[in-house]
Amino acid sequence: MPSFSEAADPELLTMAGGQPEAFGELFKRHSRSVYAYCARRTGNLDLAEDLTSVVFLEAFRRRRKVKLSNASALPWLLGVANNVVRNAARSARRYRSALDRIPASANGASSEEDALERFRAQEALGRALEAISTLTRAEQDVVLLVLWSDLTYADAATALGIPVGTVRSRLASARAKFNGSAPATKTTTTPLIEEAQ
Amino acid sequence: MNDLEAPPVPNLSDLRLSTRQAHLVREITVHNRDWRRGGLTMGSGAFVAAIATVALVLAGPGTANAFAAWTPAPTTPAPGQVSSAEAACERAAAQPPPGAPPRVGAGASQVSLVDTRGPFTLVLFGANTPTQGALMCVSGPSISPSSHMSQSNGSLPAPGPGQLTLDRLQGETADNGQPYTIAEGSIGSGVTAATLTLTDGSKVVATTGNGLFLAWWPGSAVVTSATLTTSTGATTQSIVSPTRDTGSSGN
Repeated sequence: MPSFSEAADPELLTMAGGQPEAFGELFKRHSRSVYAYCARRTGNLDLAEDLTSVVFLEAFRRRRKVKLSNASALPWLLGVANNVVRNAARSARRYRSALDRIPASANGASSEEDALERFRAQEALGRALEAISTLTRAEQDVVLLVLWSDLTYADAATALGIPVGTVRSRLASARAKFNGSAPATKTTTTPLIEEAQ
Repeated sequence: MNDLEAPPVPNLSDLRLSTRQAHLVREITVHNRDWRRGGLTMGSGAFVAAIATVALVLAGPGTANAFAAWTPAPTTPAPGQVSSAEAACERAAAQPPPGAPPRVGAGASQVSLVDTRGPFTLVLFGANTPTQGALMCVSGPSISPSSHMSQSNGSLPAPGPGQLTLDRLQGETADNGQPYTIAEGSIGSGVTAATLTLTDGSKVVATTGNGLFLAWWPGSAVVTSATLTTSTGATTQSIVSPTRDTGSSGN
């Protein structure tokens, strides 16, 4: 069986159709980043784990339609994640059968200590989401990708399918609102989470 | 929060991620097969229908994934699961197929270690009687116990403290022809857990006990390393896998 650990992301994507393990290697490389993105987007760690699986299933479905513009598939995957989270309820319905086949060992807290850490993390995520709820959804997108996921402006533009200049301007607007130099209009992130559950 | 700083997210454990990685590969393997057979273009609506179809196909003989319920980490056995597996394996050992070589002596019928993964049960008999060799038997959906019994090739030197020795890799096939691989060996003193890394990058948590370890996985990947947990922490040991033995099945 071939080893995929040395193949670049675009090669793995090309091989994935005939060799599913190649897509497994992509998961291995990027699932933590996708999970962190989903967790920060939803504020729900359990939901984020399932959405991570959905993102990769959906990415596999879309793989023939994408040409990676750089060596890393992460910007594209986070773009998929952005859409999956935005339509979390629909995504969960679409892949419900697949999610039901995930072994129990991949779910829930593994110990009391783990449960406490997850509870505290979810509280912090909730506070962070509340803090950015004054931003528009478009501004939140760039905050999540550039500031919270460490993508470059160019990679965030790739993920969102918008010009780099738009990423810059949205981020500047977000920062201005957040620092109180521009009027804030509160938008909600909570309905997204409720919809997903 | 006084700035747009990223809130921390707890890391997912390697086990949780490798479980989901294995699940992903299984799902897309099943769907790829479906695409090739049916020539379907999977639109978003068709995908749901395809999942439902696959779930039905799995119940049929000789098709799809015999190991859909397999897990990369051992699971708690269902009530009666181990005893019925042991009984099935002992019956199979007592009645080898016509023409097959004799199995093991009475001393080897003592159970040394049991590994359960979902509905599958792997039983190791007689591993602490090195003069007779050990007997492994897997039972579960799509696996007939009598088809997958084999005797060990003998004992290797015992591993040192905190080390692992991979004695045997047994290649087998399920009733529908899908391959799977069993790993069996010894652990040195102080080892409390062992996770095997395979050539395809996936990880499988072994069952450990009585100075032994057991694990198995769908496919024919072999072991490249083992992460061993002791009271002082985790270490990774490179493993040179023995040849995957595919020739000693009972049938």
